[in-house]
Amino acid sequence: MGLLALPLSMLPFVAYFRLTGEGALLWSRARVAIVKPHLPSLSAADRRWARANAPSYSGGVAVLVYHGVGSQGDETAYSITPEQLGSQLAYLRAAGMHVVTARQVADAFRQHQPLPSRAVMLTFDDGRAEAMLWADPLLAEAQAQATMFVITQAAGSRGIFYASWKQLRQYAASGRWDLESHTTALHFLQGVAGGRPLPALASLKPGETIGAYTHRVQMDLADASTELEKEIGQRPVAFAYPFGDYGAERTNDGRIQGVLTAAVSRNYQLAFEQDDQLTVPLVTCTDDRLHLRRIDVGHWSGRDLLQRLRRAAAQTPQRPSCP
Amino acid sequence: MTQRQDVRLAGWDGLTGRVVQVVIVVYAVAILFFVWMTKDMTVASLTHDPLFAAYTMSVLIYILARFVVAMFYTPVFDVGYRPTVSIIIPAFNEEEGIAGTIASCLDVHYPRHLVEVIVVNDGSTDDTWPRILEAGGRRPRFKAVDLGRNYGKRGAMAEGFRRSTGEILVFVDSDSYLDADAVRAIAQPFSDPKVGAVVGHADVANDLESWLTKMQQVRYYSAFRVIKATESLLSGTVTCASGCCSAYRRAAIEPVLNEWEFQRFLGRPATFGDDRALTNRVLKTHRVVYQETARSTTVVPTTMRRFLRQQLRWKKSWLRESLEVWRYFWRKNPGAAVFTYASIVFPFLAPFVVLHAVLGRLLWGSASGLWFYLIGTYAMALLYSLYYGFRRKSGLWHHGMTFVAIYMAFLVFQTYWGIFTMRDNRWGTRDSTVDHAPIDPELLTVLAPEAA
Repeated sequence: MGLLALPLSMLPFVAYFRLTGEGALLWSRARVAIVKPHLPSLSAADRRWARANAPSYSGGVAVLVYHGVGSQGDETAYSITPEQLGSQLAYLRAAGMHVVTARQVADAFRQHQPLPSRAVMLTFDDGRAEAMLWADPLLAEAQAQATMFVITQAAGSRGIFYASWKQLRQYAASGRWDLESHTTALHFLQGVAGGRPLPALASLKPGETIGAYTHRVQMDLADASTELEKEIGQRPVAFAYPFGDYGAERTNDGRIQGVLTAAVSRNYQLAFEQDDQLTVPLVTCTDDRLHLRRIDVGHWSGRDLLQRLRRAAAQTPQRPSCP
Repeated sequence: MTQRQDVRLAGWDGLTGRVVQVVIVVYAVAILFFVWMTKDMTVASLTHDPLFAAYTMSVLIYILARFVVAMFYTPVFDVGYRPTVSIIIPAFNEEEGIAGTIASCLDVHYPRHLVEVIVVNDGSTDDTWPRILEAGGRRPRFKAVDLGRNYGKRGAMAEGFRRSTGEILVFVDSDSYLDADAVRAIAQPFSDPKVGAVVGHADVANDLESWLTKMQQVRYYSAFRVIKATESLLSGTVTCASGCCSAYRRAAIEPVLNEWEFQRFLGRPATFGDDRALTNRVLKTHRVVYQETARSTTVVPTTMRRFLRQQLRWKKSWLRESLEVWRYFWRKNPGAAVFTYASIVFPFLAPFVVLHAVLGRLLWGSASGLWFYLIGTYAMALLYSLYYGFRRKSGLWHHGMTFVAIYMAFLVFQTYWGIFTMRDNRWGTRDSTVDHAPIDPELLTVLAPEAA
């Protein structure tokens, strides 16, 4: 019994690591601390395949959106594995893709500068600690950068699901992370009069006037920018709509889209959504910069990703007016 | 009796023992690694939940520091010191065990002419007195004292002291048994004149009887080998030389004996906690050290009810004596002072932390704090138990976790329960109510076969 008790005594830890979010993160942290994740090494055949299937374009940028990396349990639907991310980064590199950040794209658009050819932007929503934990060493190895859309109140709150400001400052200092805005605190579904809960950023609360809504949204976005500037030292230039909802569909007032777009335009140069995944073309300089479209990355291998990028490039009309 | 029961019956010997030890070390390192990984979770919650987080961090550091300091403990080896020793056994209604206790004391490996055994019958109403006479027989250097009525343990111990001649007095509870080498071992630290009292190591005699006694065996081990060892190492500041197996220097207790025998608290005679009270008085002027090699076994409660009563009694004497400890301990070794003041403060916060973690989360939603708290407590309980498994190579190790569970569920709340019921000074396990009367010579019978 005494000997048997040794393995049995591990069961509560297994349960904690598998069944609680905190435990899962702790487990991830331990894994990353012991064995840093690495990009897979591609064989010569893999490299040839990557070069042969590399999408070829210039003037546009493929924008990818990720949420979680390495999450378990309920979150797996919104999360890919570190191995999948590693494979994707390895293939992007082998295919000669150029990774850019939201800030670089905003600058290029504003200054009418050309984007690098075969440009890809990796974006992550929410500022999740676990995603950054896994992605950061992989980005470092791939010499790539990512754009993280941070919910600023979550970054300052207790709990460990979201990266703290202290961690975010470290990530920003590494040069691998461009930290942008994902609202201060409007990333949730709210109860509305008569109907299913709707995204808080894109709907009226029960009894809320459009004026009160405008004020609420403007305050939230302005606060997020102020907070990011205060904590990270750089004012955000880009925004991602929570749930990708910008007031077109999941809303309860027809005026919201206009009001929201105006509020976003006062604070940001670029704003991203991820509607209608059937056809997502590349982002080009002639697009509506407050409704830029992103490719929602699923449980894909590196090859899957390259093929998806080829499709996006094929679905993009020629824009000769772009530099 | 020399061979520990649990080692004999539940131990891992030879290669198995070694392998298990290695496994335990790896396991413990892995747990500590995960504890390290959580550090910023605790630090982050400092700003939101200061009491909870500060308590968690301090307790963690406190526990780990105790274990680390205890690793450096070594007992005093036999330096050939052989003072005269009086073994004093107070007995009240102990007809079952008294003969065994006396036998273990008469058989100690110590020069015969230097040791005497004095048994004091504290007005037992059963067959204790005849059993004492039977067990002692006409052995030389054996004294049997019958007080004629019940005075309480302190009266019996004090009378034993007055009847004794030894330079060193070994007090043994009537339900404890000394190992043959215990007296020789317990005498060695007294070769340092600064040492006023020495506490030996106690194991549980009935350790394999039930889960409750197994749990107490693991608890006893760390209470002695970790807590007392740490205190001992820090300039001899053991705060309680347990009644089951302690020795005092005659010169150290003579000046405090009377005050101790008739100690009153809140207007009532202080009955239990005689051991802690005596240690506390000696500690003001002398060092009190732990001697691991002086081994004894003691019978522990076998029902939950009796166990909880015993713990409450200990808690009350701890509360009473801590008032005094608080006043003078800052003058002691700084390390010992930090540990001791922390050990006084923590039990007052602990019940709130438990309630905060369990009820708070149930009432206000998010369970994550609760899981973190539970797994953290479990990790500490596991480390605590693994320590026993490692040192003793014993299959009883996991019962340490039962102890921690009972501690969190019941004992944590006894601090305040003890305060509220402080004036109830009944013994709890023995139906003795005593009034601290001075010993009446008219009722006294002293049988000293040697003199007869």
